[in-house]
Amino acid sequence: MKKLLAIIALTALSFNAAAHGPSPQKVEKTIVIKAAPAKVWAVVKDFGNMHAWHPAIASTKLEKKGDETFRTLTLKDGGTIYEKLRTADDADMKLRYEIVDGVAPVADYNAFMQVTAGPGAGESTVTWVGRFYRTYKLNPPIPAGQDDETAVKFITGVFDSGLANLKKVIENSK
Amino acid sequence: MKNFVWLLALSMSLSACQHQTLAYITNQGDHTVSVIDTRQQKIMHTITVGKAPVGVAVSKKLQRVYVTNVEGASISVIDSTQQKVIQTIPVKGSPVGITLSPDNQTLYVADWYSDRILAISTSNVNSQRTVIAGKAPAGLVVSPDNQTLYVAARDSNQVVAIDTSSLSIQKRIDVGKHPFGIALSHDGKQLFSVNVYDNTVSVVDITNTDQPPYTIKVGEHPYCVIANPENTQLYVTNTQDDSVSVIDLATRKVITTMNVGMTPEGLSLDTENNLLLVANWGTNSVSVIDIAQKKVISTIKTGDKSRAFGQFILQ
Repeated sequence: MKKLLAIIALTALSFNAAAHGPSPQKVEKTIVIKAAPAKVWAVVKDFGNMHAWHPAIASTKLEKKGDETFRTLTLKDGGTIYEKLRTADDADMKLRYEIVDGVAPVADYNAFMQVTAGPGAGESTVTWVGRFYRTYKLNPPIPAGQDDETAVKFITGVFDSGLANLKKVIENSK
Repeated sequence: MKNFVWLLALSMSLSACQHQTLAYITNQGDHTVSVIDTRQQKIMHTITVGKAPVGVAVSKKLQRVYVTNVEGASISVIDSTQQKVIQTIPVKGSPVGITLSPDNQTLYVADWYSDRILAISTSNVNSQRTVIAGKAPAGLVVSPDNQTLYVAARDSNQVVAIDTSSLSIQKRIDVGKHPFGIALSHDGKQLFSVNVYDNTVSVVDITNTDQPPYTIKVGEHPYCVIANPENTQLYVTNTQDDSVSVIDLATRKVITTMNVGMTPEGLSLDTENNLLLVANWGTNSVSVIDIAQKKVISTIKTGDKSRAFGQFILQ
């Protein structure tokens, strides 16, 4: 009986894994950095060096698999997040990536970071936008920790702390 | 002469009143519907509906707009003469896709997690039938003769044809990976399925469904499709390219790609004014495209996270 339950649970999990929820969530944050756009973009596009500016990340491991680029982020709190680079476009100064796997309480996450010039002379604006779903993939009731609020709060925390420190790191470097 | 010009202007403005075309845009993030006058290209009303509205279906004849509230487990019924919600139909589950039969008699609703399709009588909403069609039903469309309901079963990678009187499955048509939005040509002879994970549109010959559909490559993570009334072109939203592809059906190729707002989802045609309206989830706006010029002519600010999944233009 126990075995049967385990099989049922496994089956349920396996076909839910393909699906995601019907309500995508979004976090969008920006910060102004007193540095030239080229200088900011050089830091942002450096996919294998996120720990150099993000305060929650202890280390970044870059991996190439054929034409594709991945990174493993090891968090200071423990756990890892495995991400895939989609594009790093120098003309648009736009980096696009997605989460493949890991401890972040989100599903089907993709994001971009973009550097634009201004608003002032010698300044840059960094925009970070993430689109994702909660991890719970069935009808309500939604368990705590797998809901939209948890997902949005986590990504908001990542963006806010990351952008604040990105500004600090770039403005303090000569 | 002056009088004549004045009269002409008057008659033109009168006819504008008679032919007002309205777009009903669902805003997932603030639980509202933005009502846009497409000629004036501005918001006329903002209507509060249920939690996280997604799908929309309109009826000129019934003067009703139906909205699925996916997180609110309900359908809001809007009276389009008063621009307010007059009824809320509870739906157990997560309603997303919604469409109305051309005879205005039946509303079809896709319940995402339960794999159910609900057939609700518009004259008596308590009269509901259900059918299980395939995994994660998304887009819905009914044939012009009201006989067949087509369902994009996203996680089955199929479009399922259902007989509307018996609600029995007639045919399962294999399409690309993760079909979401679907549409029919105006003559009902072709069906178009947008395959999110393949970045393609499948074109199914309804008169010969044994023949495998052909596919056309579009942009990244496409969501929704619509055909022009002449059935010469398709318009497809590419959610992760922030663009709309224009497909020429004769050559089976993308002929133009237009940049719109961020993460475009639903799109509908205003045939009166020859416009294409696109709801941009990522930038909380609607892009208005002049079809003849194939150009975005204005962008209208809407509510938070606009989706408008379905036929949303009342004309």
